[in-house]
Amino acid sequence: MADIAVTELSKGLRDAIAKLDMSEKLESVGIVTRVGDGVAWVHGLTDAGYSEVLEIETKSGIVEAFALNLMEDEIGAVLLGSDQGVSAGDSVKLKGEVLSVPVGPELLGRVVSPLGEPLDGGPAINAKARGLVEREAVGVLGRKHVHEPMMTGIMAIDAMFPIGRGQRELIIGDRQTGKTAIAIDTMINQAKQKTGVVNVYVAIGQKLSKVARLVERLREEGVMDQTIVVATGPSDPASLLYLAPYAGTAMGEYFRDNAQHALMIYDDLTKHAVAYRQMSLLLRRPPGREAFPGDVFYLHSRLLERSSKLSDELGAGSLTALPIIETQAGDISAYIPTNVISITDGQIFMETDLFYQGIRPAISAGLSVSRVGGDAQTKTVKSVSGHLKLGLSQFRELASFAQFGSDLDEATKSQIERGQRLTELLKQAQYQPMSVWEQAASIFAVSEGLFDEIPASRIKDAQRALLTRLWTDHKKDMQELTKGAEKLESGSDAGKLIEKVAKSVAKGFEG
Amino acid sequence: MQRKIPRRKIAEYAASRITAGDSVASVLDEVAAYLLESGRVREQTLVVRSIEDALARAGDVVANVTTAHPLDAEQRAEVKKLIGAPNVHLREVVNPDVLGGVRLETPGAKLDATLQRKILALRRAKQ
Repeated sequence: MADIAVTELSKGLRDAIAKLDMSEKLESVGIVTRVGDGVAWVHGLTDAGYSEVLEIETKSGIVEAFALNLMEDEIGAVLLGSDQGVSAGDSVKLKGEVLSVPVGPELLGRVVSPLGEPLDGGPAINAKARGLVEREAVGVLGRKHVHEPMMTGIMAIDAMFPIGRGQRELIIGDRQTGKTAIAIDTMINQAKQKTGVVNVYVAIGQKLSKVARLVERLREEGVMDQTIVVATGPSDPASLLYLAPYAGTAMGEYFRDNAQHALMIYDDLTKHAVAYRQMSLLLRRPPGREAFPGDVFYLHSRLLERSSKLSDELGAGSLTALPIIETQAGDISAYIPTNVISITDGQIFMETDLFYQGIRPAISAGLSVSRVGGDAQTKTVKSVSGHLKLGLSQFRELASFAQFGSDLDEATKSQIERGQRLTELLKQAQYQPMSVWEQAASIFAVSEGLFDEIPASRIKDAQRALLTRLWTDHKKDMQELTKGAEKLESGSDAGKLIEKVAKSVAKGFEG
Repeated sequence: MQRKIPRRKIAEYAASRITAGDSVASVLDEVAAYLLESGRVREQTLVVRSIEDALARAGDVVANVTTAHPLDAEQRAEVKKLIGAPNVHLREVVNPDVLGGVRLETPGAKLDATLQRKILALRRAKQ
């Protein structure tokens, strides 16, 4: 064997290493010209697409951004993290894809960021699938009309403003009126009634202490196993607040597209609009009304349109949305509230006055509506809700006369008293959603006049006693009733049974 | 108020003059005069990049090639083939710090296949 000098060997090795690797390709590259307030302006990358992900190479690693302003000379890219590590002169590459998040059952029980990163201290999310954050809504032919109920467990809603699977029902009201409480009770009810509906709660700019309390409560109620929480706090960059509802919707769409049902809660879209306004102003987009950009309607319409009931051919899954909007001083005619009201299929209006009068949930029966209505109600609840709505609307008309007391005729007095009993009946404690039979039996008892001898202040006690007696002594009948397939009328078997028990209970509460 | 001419338009104008055969110096003098007159001197670096981009689109590419050792004729030809433009002018830089492989920078594009970068990527992946 010939002697091979060590130096020749090492040179030969170096030459081999120095040989060009032609399998790699030239990639388009841009350069950051200026950065600040969460926006990086990039020169170059002329073939970047709208909303495409960019990778900025900084000294401390890759920072991702997405391109929102495609202008002639530069691109305005919103950073998905802190802008502290990004400097002018950093090179920028195209990732070659639009924003996507991990989706699938691996996310159930987890608290994640809008990018799918865990926030609950648990292991990394290893989802098999990814969903697009921005995606087109299902077309007309892919949909079916809303016909299945989404029971919230809140009597006032399920009886008078029923929500169906695939519907968008807005929860609107001033601060501290119980909007999130309605959403939480709806989520708890899905676990209690074992509906199999997956909950996705999107916290947009909410205090992290509030989110932590909510997660704790959901764990106590055994709901977390079928819930995904997408959380952004007030100190997170506006880009994450902007993306949160879209990312959450992508996670919900996974279940919808796989023949399951999911419930989206966006808490709240007012903060979402404010975050988008901040981003748009920093991107130098022209401000419109109230300094919001011109496409603030489209911001919410394209989000909410993704909630739908799919046709049987596409698996008959559904995505229901409960967006929340916070008003100022009860003004539902402001810009963002009117936008979202016109997009959704109804609204539940929470009034501060009712809240402080002790009527909780503080739902305004006059201003609330569900445009889907009876199609989304079980037969049982539908059969008793007509009397409830009528009784309450008559009471509203006469409410101002209630102060006259003995100067009124008997018919008016009895309508007022009936209304007061119904109002008292509709009060419901938090975290105690009611099943179909409980709601139907309670409304039936009051609207049929079976509790007319009971003072309004004792109606809740009488209701509790009635429900306890019915469940203890007639469990099978109540289990049958809760299926919701039969009308509850005074002539029906269930009606006669409830009448008998209610009369017996009423004797113990008469004033 | 005078409308600001986009950098891309300035670059396309300059590139078209250069590819038509005008003297580079005179074209750059015109561009410099415009930038001074419109108070846009700060944009000079970006204007140069835009002109290089425009020239590259027209087929005249100036590329920086960084390797650990000087390129031989075969390697030079491979680089020009990779870039794929009709006229390629290479600026060769020898930098032993890259250890091996090549870093190729053209206007608007980059290829970093150096060992230095691969080691850095491995380090980052480990973190």
